[in-house]
Amino acid sequence: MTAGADPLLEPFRTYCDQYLGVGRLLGEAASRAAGGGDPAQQTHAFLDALSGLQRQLTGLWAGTLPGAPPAASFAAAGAAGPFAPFNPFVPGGPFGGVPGAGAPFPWAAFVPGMAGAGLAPGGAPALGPTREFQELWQRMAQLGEQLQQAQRRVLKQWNGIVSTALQQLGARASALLAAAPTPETLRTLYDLWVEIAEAAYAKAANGPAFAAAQAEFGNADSRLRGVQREYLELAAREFDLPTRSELNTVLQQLRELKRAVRGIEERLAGPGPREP
Amino acid sequence: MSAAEPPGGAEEAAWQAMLRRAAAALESLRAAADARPGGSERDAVYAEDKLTLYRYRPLASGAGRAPLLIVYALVNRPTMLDLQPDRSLIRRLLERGLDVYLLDWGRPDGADRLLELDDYINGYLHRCVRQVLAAHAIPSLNLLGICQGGTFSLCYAALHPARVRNLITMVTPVDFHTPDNLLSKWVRGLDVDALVSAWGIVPGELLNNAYLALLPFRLGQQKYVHLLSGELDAEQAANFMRMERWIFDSPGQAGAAFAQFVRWFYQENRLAAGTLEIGGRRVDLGQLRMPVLNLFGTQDHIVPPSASAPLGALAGSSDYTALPLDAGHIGMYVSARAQRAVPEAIDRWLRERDPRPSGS
Repeated sequence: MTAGADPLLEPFRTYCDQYLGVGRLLGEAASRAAGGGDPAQQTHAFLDALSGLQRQLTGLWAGTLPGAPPAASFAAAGAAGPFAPFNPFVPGGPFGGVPGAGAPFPWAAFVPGMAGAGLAPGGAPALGPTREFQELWQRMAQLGEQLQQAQRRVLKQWNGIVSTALQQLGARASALLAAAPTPETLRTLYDLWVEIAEAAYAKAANGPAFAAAQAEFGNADSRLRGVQREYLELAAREFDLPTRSELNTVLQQLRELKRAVRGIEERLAGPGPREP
Repeated sequence: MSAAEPPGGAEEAAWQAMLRRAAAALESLRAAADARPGGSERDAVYAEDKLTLYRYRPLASGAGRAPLLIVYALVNRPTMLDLQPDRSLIRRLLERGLDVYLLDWGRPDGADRLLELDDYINGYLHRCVRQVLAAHAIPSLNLLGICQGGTFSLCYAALHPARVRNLITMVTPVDFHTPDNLLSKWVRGLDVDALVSAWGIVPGELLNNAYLALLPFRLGQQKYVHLLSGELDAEQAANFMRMERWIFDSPGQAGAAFAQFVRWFYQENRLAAGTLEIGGRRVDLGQLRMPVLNLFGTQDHIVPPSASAPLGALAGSSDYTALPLDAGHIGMYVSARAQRAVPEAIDRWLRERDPRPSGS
């Protein structure tokens, strides 16, 4: 298959690659377990061999691999979007991926009076002619740290789900481990894995801890994006460029104007059926 | 694709056959990459901002039956209702002589971020209803609301009952706080104002991810794995690609309306509680005195049946019919069983309540 044939096919291809990766790990684990002798030994060997699978799956949910599933979507969107250069947690970004590190300010060279100005490191009060920028930068660093903490809590949930599911898989897969794996047994093993993992996930996802972790993660991401926008708007004003806030004001005025015109039109059209 | 090395000791031929099947399936999908949803002929009869009101060309005589206006959700495209000739709710309704209109909300962009639910329900939807009523010179029409569009239709019919002759809801959430509503649990703690402030137009991908997250292992991987495991002919590949295109074709959401929908419906459950106000007017489901048909799927994981069924107790109608079908959220539109049962049920139910021709 050629790359880029259709955007829809690319995610599919990624999923297939991931599947075969998961399948290979399952197959290797089953192969190792097959030589183990008694069922308890086989199960133990199988579980031991599955540690690679756990690493792969938690890596997926951390958003470090393509096609990261939903839990990491907020961060993934932020990392890939236009704000990526301003996200303190994007590796290689201007803030070096370390919040509060006081890396060179990206706008400093362009903002009048800022060139060469020192910036308040995290924790120090924002002072001087670039005070507003420093303050925003500090807030971004704090919110970035909150986002990381929230992501860790989400990952903890996912690690719990995967660990539970893998333990259950080991207990239920023993019948499939008696012989060397074939495509059929591997497929059965995979379907069993999905069934068990989905059940473990459903149990966790319906609980308050999972919902709280997800919400905290989403909220942290939103707040960071909000401050990132403030930051860009401040810079835009320095260059007399239009900002989102200004555009929103214009949109609101247009909206009120359209409503007023419609009201006049409806009054001219006369009354319709009586309404409760 | 990077093929995995077969585990040692396996029969080489079987592994090779599996890999050949997978490669053939990918090739079939590549060949079907251009398969697009849609097909029934229609005309745009009204347009405003991003929305378009379509009227479908008849496939059978309706003998002057009242028109049916379909209101779909904002969160996906209505192409699902006319996916392909043999999987088309709209086509089946046309074949039964119904005069079908569809409100296509379009794709909001940054200029639409301040639109509120009042704009959608008392604005866009209301004006589309008036267009249809004027075209047929009738006082009321039949309204079919689907999913979130069903919730909008409930609000509209409660606020403007004289304009709705018969109300049909399909996979429509009414009570958002039932114990099996996973989406509802997840968004309770969401700071929706911060979300909307950060995004303006809430990306469709974000919502899509939330839906996939309801069954991440099945929807995220297993369905693709199953494709690799069997033979996939050209027609099956085209069907899959049309569906896939629809699933991931999710418009962004106007921020203000999205925030209101999440807060008022998912977080505060105002519709079921009777405390919802749209455009300064209370939405009282007791005002639904017209006949109501409520269709929902017993296997629906997005809008659980428990979220739809309470309409019977809340609607003021003395002519309320609940029709649960053994289908999931998507299956309600496209499964072979639903393709027969849903249009037939709608047609029969409408005929029973509207036996005589009316208007032009």
